[in-house]
Amino acid sequence: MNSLTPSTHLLLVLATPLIGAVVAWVLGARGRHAVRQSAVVTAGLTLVSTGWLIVRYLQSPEAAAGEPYAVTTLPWLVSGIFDVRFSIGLDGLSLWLFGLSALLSLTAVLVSWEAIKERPIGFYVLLLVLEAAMLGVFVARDVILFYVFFEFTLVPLFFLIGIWGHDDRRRAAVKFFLYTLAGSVLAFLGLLVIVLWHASHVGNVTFDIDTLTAGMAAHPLPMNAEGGWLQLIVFWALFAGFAIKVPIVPFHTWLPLAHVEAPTGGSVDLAGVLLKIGIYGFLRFSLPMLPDASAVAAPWLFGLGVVGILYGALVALVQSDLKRLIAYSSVSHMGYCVLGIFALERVSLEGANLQLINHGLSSAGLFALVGMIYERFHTRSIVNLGGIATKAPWLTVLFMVFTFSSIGLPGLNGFVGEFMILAGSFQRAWTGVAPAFQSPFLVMSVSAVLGVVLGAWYMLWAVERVFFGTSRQPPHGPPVEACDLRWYETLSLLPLVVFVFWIGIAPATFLHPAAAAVRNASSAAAEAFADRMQAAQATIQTIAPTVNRVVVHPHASTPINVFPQPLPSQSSANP
Amino acid sequence: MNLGTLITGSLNDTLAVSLPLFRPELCLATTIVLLLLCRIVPLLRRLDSGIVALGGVCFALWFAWIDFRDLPGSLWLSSSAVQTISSRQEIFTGLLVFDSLTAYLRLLLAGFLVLYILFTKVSGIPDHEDGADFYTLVLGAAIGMCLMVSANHLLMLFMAVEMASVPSYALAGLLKGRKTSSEAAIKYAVYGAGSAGVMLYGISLLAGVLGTCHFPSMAAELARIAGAGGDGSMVLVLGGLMVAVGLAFKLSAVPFHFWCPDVFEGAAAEVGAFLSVASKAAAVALLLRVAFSLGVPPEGDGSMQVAQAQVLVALADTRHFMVYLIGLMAAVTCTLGNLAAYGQTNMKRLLAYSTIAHAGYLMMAVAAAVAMVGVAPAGARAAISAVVFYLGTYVFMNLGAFAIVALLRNKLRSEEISSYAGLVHSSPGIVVATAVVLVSLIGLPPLAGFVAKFLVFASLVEAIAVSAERPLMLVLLVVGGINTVVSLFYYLRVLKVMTFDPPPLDRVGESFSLVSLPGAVVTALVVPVVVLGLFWSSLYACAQLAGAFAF
Repeated sequence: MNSLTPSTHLLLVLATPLIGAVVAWVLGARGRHAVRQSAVVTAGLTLVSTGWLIVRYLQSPEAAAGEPYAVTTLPWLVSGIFDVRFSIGLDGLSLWLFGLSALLSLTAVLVSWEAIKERPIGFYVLLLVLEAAMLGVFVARDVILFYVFFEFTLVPLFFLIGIWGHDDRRRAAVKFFLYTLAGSVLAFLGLLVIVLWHASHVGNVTFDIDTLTAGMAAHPLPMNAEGGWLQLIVFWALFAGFAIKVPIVPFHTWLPLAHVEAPTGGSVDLAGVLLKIGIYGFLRFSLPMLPDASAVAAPWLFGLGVVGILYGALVALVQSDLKRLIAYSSVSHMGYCVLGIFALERVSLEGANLQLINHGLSSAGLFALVGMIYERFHTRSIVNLGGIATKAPWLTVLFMVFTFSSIGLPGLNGFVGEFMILAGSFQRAWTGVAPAFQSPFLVMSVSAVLGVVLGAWYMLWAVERVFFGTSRQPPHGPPVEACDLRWYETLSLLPLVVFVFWIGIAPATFLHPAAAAVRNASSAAAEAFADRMQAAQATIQTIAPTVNRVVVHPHASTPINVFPQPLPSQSSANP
Repeated sequence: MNLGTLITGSLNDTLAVSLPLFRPELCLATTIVLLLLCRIVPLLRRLDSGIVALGGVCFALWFAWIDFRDLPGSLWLSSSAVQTISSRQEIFTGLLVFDSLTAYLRLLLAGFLVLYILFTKVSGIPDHEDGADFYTLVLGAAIGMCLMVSANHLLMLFMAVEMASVPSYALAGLLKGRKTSSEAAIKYAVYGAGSAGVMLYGISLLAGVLGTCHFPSMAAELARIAGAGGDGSMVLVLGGLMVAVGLAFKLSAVPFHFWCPDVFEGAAAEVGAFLSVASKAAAVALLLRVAFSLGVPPEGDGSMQVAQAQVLVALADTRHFMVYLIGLMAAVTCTLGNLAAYGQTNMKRLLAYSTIAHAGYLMMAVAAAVAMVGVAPAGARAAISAVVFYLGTYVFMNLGAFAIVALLRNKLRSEEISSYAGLVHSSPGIVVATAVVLVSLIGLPPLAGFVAKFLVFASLVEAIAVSAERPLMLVLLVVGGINTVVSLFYYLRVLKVMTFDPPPLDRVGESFSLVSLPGAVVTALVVPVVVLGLFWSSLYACAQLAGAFAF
């Protein structure tokens, strides 16, 4: 084992899908079967190798010390004043998303086993390139490298949707591409401003993310009228990129269209991994590099998260297309992640980080199963489906598992994440904000809980209509008789089920390695938020001492004194 | 001083000092004469005028390179060589000035001309009959552009602008049988004449108040007026605005851009390439020249340093005025160019608006440079370097784009974007080349356009940190950022049509392979876009040398 250093191991993991893509291309002449076999072998090898690397990481001293692991830094575009490096490495923030990418790539390849009949070479090559790009996004430690990988996730998916998608695929592909690219260019410009600001204070231009994070703490971007609110401007620029990717609600319109039109394999990768890059971006860049602006924006994004939860759930409730329903449930569930991040509480941040994995597993599973249903019945319309349980009991069982995971049944993974996020948001509302802001925060938190109820409603209602009740024959194509899961379909979903139960039963395994990294990423923003709340409270009490007369401080049994007085420490939630 | 010494002095100035630094222009002028002579001699009439022009331009390129190589501080100057050229040399009794900016841009223009003539030989416009006219006009305009970048006198500025413009009017009407082409030429000429008149009026106002047309003397006089309490500043502002009109016309800056889309659409793509690259580069250089000649005292010997610093301070108001004028025009130009490009269906028209938008980005960096010159000279130098680096990459990006349009026109008989539908099936190579050029024009890594835009934004951030015009610089940065995003949509729409839309059933012409003569031209223009994105330090070193011109 010593012969394979961690750095080489990580490089190998990144290279495997690319090599596999070349192999699949070469084997293309020997027909579809050879291509898909080689793709499965590649994705499987990558997954095994990734799993092994994660195990090694967990045992390594770097993991205990919270340092990046398996770091490789090579000069890349080093010329003149530029210092762009090919710098990759794993840390607590990226660890599980990295693993998730490898896991879901195998799923994506397997669910396309029979579905892709036309131009299989291109399809599998693009899928493997997409895998390499997804893995690369999470291990990039250099801004330019991150951006290049980020863009490179778009290109394969653009073609996957545009060529192998359903009827409206062109519009969906272009809309997806333009939305995401437009946002990401704004985010990139924001990152460039960070780089340049850092350079103007330190003297040399560096793109190293860790150096920049430390540099932003030492020389924060100006956050006042004198400095032109530059930090806030940069924050919103980054927000544009990440919010479109998540997607946060007003920017979500590309998502249902892209999902509905994408081939199943593309949907699995899109919902499972690509949406997570947005939240990952907030944790990697926005919170640690722009803590003051994050604190200013946090209440608004907290609210947007809740709006997303409710809006996604309500729209999902009225959908007649099963895939579209799950796409809107993605919007709703990513709302939880936004809520968890911008509650800026430790427990909710860790919960949001875990929820990324949970949603990756459940939504990927659900999209895969919808794809399988579509292959059998040639429709995704809920009214045209019914009674699948009698024909495909195991498919039904798996769908139920992922449904329960998605709606947060205790014992499964979804429960842990949602519970932690909601607990954190209530903690923020009770103890973490100035008393004057307590009621709006409480209203928002309660509304977020309502989202859980709505989630159970639309998912279970859909399950009831699709899997139970009278059996219907598909409107098109031959009648379907026995049609339960085939071996490759089972194989694609079983690993996901394992993790659904594993995370649900023993979440500490997954929470612990990421905890320190999440805390480091968010501590500055959480402190800035606490400071703002103290300042706001002080201002309110000076201007209008009567405002708080009726508000009960959570820890005090008496109403807050009408006389201005220093606020008791409100940051107790973040010791 | 009697007449004899005057004549001797003048002869000496012309023959010993000025003419050796004027060799590239002399080469171009000689080539024009040769081209016209070839017309007269029956034996030489069969000689291809493109070859003659190419030969002359190569000589010009060689001399421009020698001048650039021998600049002080140049990387290529061997240590043993005798330093022959000082960093700033007024020639022709102060009408022109030779410095690193002149040398860099003359090199750039000559290099562009070489590529351009090669490209026109392949694209087939002009044909043999029109060749002599065409190349005469192109080289004539190029001389005007060389004069623009080295102008040191208001009258020279006017002469140079006219010398560059008048052949361009004729070029716009080159496609003689076509109605749109004639219309474009008329429109261009009328707009040009109008703006030239306004500029001339502005020049006379400035000359009247300041009593001189020589830029450094004007700067000194401006400083004296500012010190004396700003007498006649209203007239000066008016004159400055009127001169700005003439420059904005050459830059196709809003609101003097109306000619640009019509001319580009009406004229041949070859002419569009010339106007959008060479004319733009010269106009931007002229803007730099005027702004820095009037805003900064020329460098003198050591004894003058105190006085110079005083003049620099006294000129702060002039610079402030110019920063706001250039900056606001840049913001509006950039935004309007990008927004208007979105709705275009004709590729040349789209590129015209893209050219307008890029003028906006360039002017942003010029504004940043002027804003920083009083407080952070190093930052100002970096900003000028960003501008001229941008121009260097722009040669390849935009010439590449127009070359693709022209060569596809030869295959498809159309310049409409919709006629490019589904080209990826028959000609994947040209689609990849288009993608490289357009993505570079957007400014995404790792292409040359990214580095150029990065440097421009870097100078804006630097200006936010140090300059007095912080709010304006912040606005420019935000406007530039948003515009970059807006520009995605129309550039990528072209690629979308090329890759996704089904090819039209009635498509004429065969497929376009990169392994052909036209393909080689496209490749030769596109490969530098990629290479300059990865290895750009030598071009940047040249740009830095040019950036040190003013102070």
